[in-house]
Amino acid sequence: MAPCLAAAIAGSGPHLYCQARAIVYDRRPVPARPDAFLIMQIKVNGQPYEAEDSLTAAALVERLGYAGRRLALEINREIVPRSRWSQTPLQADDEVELVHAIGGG
Amino acid sequence: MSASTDQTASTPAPLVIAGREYRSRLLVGTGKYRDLDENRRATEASGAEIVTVAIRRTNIGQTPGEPNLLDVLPPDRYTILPNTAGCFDADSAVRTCRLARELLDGHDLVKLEVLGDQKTLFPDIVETLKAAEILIRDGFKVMVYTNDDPLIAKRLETMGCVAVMPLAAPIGSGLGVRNPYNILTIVENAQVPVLVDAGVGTASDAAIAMELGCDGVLMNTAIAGARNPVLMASAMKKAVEAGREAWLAGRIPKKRFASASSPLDGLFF
Repeated sequence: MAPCLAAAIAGSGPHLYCQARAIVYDRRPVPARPDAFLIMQIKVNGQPYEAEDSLTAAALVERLGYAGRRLALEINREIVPRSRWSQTPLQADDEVELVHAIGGG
Repeated sequence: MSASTDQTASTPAPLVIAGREYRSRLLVGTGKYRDLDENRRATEASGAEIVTVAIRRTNIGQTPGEPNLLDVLPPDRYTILPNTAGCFDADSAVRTCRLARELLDGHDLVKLEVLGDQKTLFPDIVETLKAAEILIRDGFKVMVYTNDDPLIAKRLETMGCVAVMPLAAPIGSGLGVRNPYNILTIVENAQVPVLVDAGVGTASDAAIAMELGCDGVLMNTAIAGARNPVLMASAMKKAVEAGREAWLAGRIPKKRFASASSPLDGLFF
């Protein structure tokens, strides 16, 4: 079971919501200090997404399994160049768009 | 190099778009294929050097390892032409182009299409003009999808579009060149490449567009939707080349009555 932040903070078993969205927490290390950050809500490609408030754009892309893929990223309709992803922290209510090239005419 | 003494046939003039030369005058889309492998094989058979792609959201949570379009059609081999298909207003078209430029490391050649209506997919010219102006100011090289109106085609050229691409018929309709006289007028007036984009159904349609003097043809459905897309891609390649050569060669005028091909002199009866 992927570590569940909500559970870590609340001191219970994995939160149901986190179980349902386990993919969000894949590869996330168990925090040494569970109170070191808070969980925030953002949107990724129109879908609600939970993340700790220290998450960077680069970490989000990696967590989604897209590291090394050719993508473009917008936060709140502003393009963030790939070179700046690692210095770009996400904030609560951010709307992230991740796009790629697909077949089209 | 061909043994032919005809320089026109052996060293055909390249298609020049935004200062870059292309040998192929057939541009192809990458939509509607069964899978990436068929897409790749058809694109190779077409001989196309410019391929259009769409820009869409990634599917969050879906198998991250799955192959990517640009893995099979790599940007170092093909000129990737991102389109704004699916945009029904200038804002979303501009936004799409900016994302595409970021995606392709600053590559600024785009196909602008702003659609006005789901049923016909005819271009919304008011929004197209608006988007073209913003994009050109922003440094994009804009190849623009438009209707077959010679006045609008000229306007788009004057604004600074690097190629004007009137439709032959509605996107995906396969109806062929519906208004050859307008296409001819657009070609005659143009100082930038004119490419027929959309509406081609089969090889003869592509040849007709090229015989009218178009600089190229862009198509997707006619190839991807054929029973054998790879074979149709090959047919389209030949049709575009044949149409181009026929235009360069200069066709005979149409006459109402016959003109014998064998001489009448020397008849022995």
